[in-house]
This record gives sequence, C-alpha cells and structure tokens, in this order.
Amino acid sequence: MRVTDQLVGNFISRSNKDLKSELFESVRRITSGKAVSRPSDDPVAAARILRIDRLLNDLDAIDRSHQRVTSDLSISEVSLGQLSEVLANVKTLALQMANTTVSAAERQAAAIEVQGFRDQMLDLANRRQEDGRHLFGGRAEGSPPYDDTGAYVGSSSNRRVEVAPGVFSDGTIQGAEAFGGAGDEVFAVFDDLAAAMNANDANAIMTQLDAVDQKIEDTSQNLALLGTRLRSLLDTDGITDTLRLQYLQDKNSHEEVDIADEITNYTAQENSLTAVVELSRRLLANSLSAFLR
Amino acid sequence: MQKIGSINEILSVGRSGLSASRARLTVAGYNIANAHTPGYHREQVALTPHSVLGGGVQIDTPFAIRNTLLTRNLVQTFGRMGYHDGSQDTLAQVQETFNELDGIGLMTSLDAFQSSLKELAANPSGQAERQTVLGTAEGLVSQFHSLTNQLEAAILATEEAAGEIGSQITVKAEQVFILNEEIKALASTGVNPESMIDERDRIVGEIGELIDVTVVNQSDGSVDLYIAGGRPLVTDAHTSAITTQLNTGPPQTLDLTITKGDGNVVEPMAEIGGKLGGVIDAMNETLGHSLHVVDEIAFGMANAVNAVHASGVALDGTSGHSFFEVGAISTGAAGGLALHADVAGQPNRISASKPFEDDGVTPVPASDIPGDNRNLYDMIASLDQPAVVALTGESVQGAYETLMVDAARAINTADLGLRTETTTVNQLQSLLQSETGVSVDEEMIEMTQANQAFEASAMVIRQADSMAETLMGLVG
Repeated sequence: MRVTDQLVGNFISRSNKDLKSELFESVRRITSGKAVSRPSDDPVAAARILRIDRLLNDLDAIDRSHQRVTSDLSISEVSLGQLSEVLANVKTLALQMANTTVSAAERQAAAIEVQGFRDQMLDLANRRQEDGRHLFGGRAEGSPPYDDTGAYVGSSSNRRVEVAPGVFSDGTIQGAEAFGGAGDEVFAVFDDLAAAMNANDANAIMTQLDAVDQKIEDTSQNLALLGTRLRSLLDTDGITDTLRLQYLQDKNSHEEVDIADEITNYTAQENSLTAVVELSRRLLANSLSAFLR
Repeated sequence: MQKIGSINEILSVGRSGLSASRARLTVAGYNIANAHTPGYHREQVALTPHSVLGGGVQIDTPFAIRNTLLTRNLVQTFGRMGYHDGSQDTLAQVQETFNELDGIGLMTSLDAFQSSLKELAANPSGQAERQTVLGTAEGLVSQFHSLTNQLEAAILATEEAAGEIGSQITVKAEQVFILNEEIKALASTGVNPESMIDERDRIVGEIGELIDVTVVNQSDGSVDLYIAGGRPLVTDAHTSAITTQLNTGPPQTLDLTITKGDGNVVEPMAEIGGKLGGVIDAMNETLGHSLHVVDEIAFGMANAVNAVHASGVALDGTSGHSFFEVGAISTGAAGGLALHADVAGQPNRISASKPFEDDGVTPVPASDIPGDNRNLYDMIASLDQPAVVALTGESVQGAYETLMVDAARAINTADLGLRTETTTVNQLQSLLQSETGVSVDEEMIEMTQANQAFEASAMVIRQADSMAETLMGLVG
C-alpha cells in the first residue's frame, strides 16, 4: 500500500479519537456503576429497568397501605382483647350477683360497675385514630359507630385495600366483627344485666349470664378472625419482600456494570492508546525529510 | 544513413532536459505545498521522448491522479454517513427528554400519581393523602408541559437546522455551477483546470454529505448534479434552491421543496438521503410522532381518569367532577393539560367513593362515603386499561414505554449507522488517499532525482559547448 502523509495523519487522528472515546465511555460506566444510563445504551434493558422501577414504586405504595391496615387491625385486636377481659370480669360479677344471698344494695353497686364497664367499652368502640378515623364503623369511619344508647350506626361494609400486588384485604372492621352489629350490640347485654341487677332479680341475672357467655364466645371468634387477618397480612408482607428482592436482582442484572470486566477493558484500551501515541511518534519521525535534515 | 548529433541538436536535447527537470521540481514542490490540502490530488508531469532523436524530452501538461470509481463511491458513502449524522444530531436533542433512568420524567410522575391514589385508597378520608394526590397530579401535569416544551423546542431547532442545510446545499450548488463555467472556459483555452476540478470535487463531496447526489460527468468537463430521485440540482442551464417547510399536522412533519432555476417548484421523487434526509426522517418519524403520541397519551389519560372520577362521589357527597382539564381534541392536549377547577385546591372533591354498592343498585349511605375507596381503584385501573391511548391502542404507560423505546432505538440505529458509515468512509478515504494523495517522501525523492537530472542536462550542454569550442579551435 502506498502511504501518503495525509493517510498517516488521518490514521493517527482517527485511532486517537476512537480510543479516547472508548476510554471515556469506559470511565463513565465505571464511575456510574451502570451499564445502562441512557435508554439508547440498550433500549430493551432500559424498558425492563423502567418496568421494574414501576413495580418497585407500586410495592412501596402497597407497603404503606399494608402498614396502615396492619396498624389499624393491631390496635383493633388490642381493643377486642380489652373487651374480652371486661366481659370475663362482667361474667364473674354476674355470677356473684346471681347468688341469692347477695343483697339489693350489693346488686345496685354491681349494676353501677357494669354500667361503668359499658361506658368504658362504648368509648373504646368509638375510639378514633390519630387522624380522626373511627376504627369500628367499617367504611363509615367519619362518625362514631355507636350512638349514646349503644346502637350501631356504622357501616355494614368494610373497605377493601390492596395489601400485596393483586391481593386485597379488609382494611376496616365493622360492628358485627367487634362490638356487635345492628341489633346485636354488646352494650345491650351490659344494659340488660345492669337493669337485672338494679331490679335485684337473681333469675334475670342468671338469664343475662347466657347473653354474656354468648358475647364472650362472639368476641373470642372475632379475635380469632382478626388474628387470622393479621397472619394473612404477615404472609403477604413476605410475598412483597420476596418480590422486591427479585425485582431488585432483576434490575441490577440489567443495569449494573461488571466492574471487573470494565476495568479490564479500561486497562486494555489505555494500553492501546499508549501504543498508538508511541507508534504515531515513531511513524512521524521516520520520514525522509527528517533523515535529510 | 540519418545524420545525427549536430551541436545544436545536443544543445536542444540538453535544454529540453533542463526544462523537464524544472517542470518535475515545480510539480513536486506544488505537491508538497498541497500535501495536506483537503481534496487535493497529487499531480504528475508526463514526460515522453521526442519523436525526433534530437528533440530530447517532451513535457506534457501535468495531470492529477484520480480514481473516479472510488470518488463516486465516496460521495455515496458520505451521503449515508450524513444521513445517520443528521439523524443522530436531531435525535440527540430528545436523548435526555426520554431518559427516565435518572428518575425524572413522565413515567416516574405517572407512577407517583398512581402510588398516591393507592395510598389514598388505604385511607380515603385522609387529608394528607388527598393533598398528596393533588400534588402528584400537578407534578404529572408539569411533566406533560415539560415534555411538550422540550419536544416543541427540538422541532423548532430541527426546522431551523433543516433550513440551514437546505441553504448550504443551495449555496454549494451555485459554487459548483460557477466552477463548471470556469472549468469549461479554461479547458477550451487549453489551460490546466485540475485545481478547480479538485475544488469542485470537494464541494460535490460536501453536497453528497448533505443530500444524496448523483453526479453526471459531461464531455466539456462540467458535471450535472441530480437529487431526490432525479430532480436537477446543478445542470448546464441553472441551479435549484432547496427549502423546507414545517407541516403542522398532527403529527408535525418537515417537507422538502425544490425550486428549479426556471422557478418551477417540484417535490422529491425518492428518498432525500444525506444529512438533510436524516434530519427530515428523524423529525417526521420520531420528533413529530413523539409530540403527537404525548398529546394522545395526555388526552387518553385525562379522559379515562375524568370518566371514572366524574362517576364517583366526593367526600362532600357531590359528584360529576372532572379531575383533569383537557381540550376537546388531542392536538395540544399535553401542553394544555391542567388540574380541573372542580378539584384544584379542593382535596375533598377527589371522588373516592362510588354512588352504588357493588350490586349496582343499592345506594352507598352518606356515612360510608369517607371510607369508600372503590372509585380510586377504578381510577388506577383506568390508566392500565389497553386502548386508553386511541392512537396506539395501548395503556398510558404502555404507549409511553413504546415511545421511549422507539426513540432509543432510533438513536441507537443512528449511532450504529454513523459508526458503520464512518468506518466505510475512512476506508474509502484511505484507499483514495493511498492512490491520489501526496507522499512527501516520494516528492523528496522526485526532487532529488529532478535535481540530479538537471545537473546531468547541464553537463550535456557544457559538453556540447566544449565540443563547439574544440571545433572552433580547429577552424581558428
């Protein structure tokens, strides 16, 4: 091949430019740690990374919903535990007052105690979350679920909330699942028992004991149900964590650069650049005009 | 027997040798001077022995070493390289517009909007969550505006760039026309027009990079240039002017117009090619299309969300509220998108509840509205519904993802094409350089040889002179 001066100049210039460009790209990948930092680096991988980002964002939102539902249900579980304890105390009190040897005055005092329990439980049933929501009214969380007479005025429906991708769970608790729904409120049992005690009627107290037992059974079932829901939430939390891990691994496999490979490439490119510079110097020096000078 | 070797003949031979050496030295010097001149072809002196023995050496007009095949191939490759270069330049403007990998962009804002709706669904009466939904919706609206502004700015810059390239082609065509005239005039007087031919070739090469050009050599030394499937750019009679016009669409497109020297306006008959073709194709296939799709996405998304939102019930019990303000047609929808006055600054107007229970008959009690989130999940689902974006038949995210991937692929194709064609151009230029370029070393040798030949010819003259003196001495 006939070698002209422009040919040599162009070759040196191009080799230098190409190698420096590759070297720069290599440095960019090493410093960012990313193999794909622009969609045009790998359009398919970029689309995949963005889809994974969407899924991760979605998981974050679902996680926050999950935390809220878990928090609400956990507080509800504590409240129902308190109701269960109170009902056990009331039963003990009712058994004592059903004894024929108990005086009318003692029964009146017990009635006041039962009424106190009733008011305490009504307050508990109408309790608000820190943001003003009522916990036991189902979807009707804007107003107290029980009125002053203890009648349930809340919703018969619960709000369904996404707690894992595509998995929905009841995010609220309505009356029937806690303090009793319309016509079956626990407060009526307290009221009837207190009335029987006030009336000094041992037989009536015995009759109300069945109702108290029924409410203890109902509350126990509700607690079991709530426990099941909380366990399910715990399980879905595991699903979310597993998914997040998979998504992150998938994202990293598309996005992250293999540092060892990249540094090897960088070293090879750097050596090539050094060689080109040295050979260029020699090539330019080996001219006839230099010899003649 | 022919009588040869008169003193005059020897002197004549010596003189022609001196002239030939001077010519060789002149041309070698000329070559060295132009060793790095772009487009220069090395020249050679053609020496032929004189037909008569005593005539010495005959010096023909110096000629440039050319390779028409390689030159033509190079012009065509320049066209392909220019095409990808034009595409790359144009698409580079939207490289960052569609780069969501840095965590900012339309898709990120869409995700944030959907996430905020999901968080509101977990607590539909929460004021903080409601404010967040309005905040992310405003962020989404801002992203649509930003995307529109960036694409419109890119389209405007592309229109200007295309106009500038058109002007360059027009000016260069006029230069070729003028050089044609000068080359023809010089050739007719017998003067060597090689340097003008080099200059014309260089300009034709530059035109070839800007637009695909077919070169037709004429017998008088001029060249005719044709573009866009046979439309004349330079002919013996006149040159054409190249202009571009922005068609408002949608989608917006750039159209090329060729105004011939006689004033007639014609359209291209085939692909334009070259840098101008790359710019126009990138504009028509990516930029204009992208703006159109972004408008369609905004239009489809706003109407889908509005339809669901209007069917829901707000916290204050009212219904029929729109969520986004959007025009009646998709054109300009992204740029004009806004939060609707029904909900702007009124978080309680976000209609999370439905008017009826799932049976579709039983009305939802007023007391249930604060805790009913079903309409929010319908709003979220509406964004994921296929064919929300009517133009592409895709969901909101699907349409945007396709747009982003298409733009990335176009950039990728332009990058790859530019690298490939640049390599080909480099190879062709090397081949052409190898054949037609100047080697200073060769010219140094040529100069040394010419110098030695000059001294030898001078010696011939001295010897002839000596012989003449000897003869004169015999006479005297």
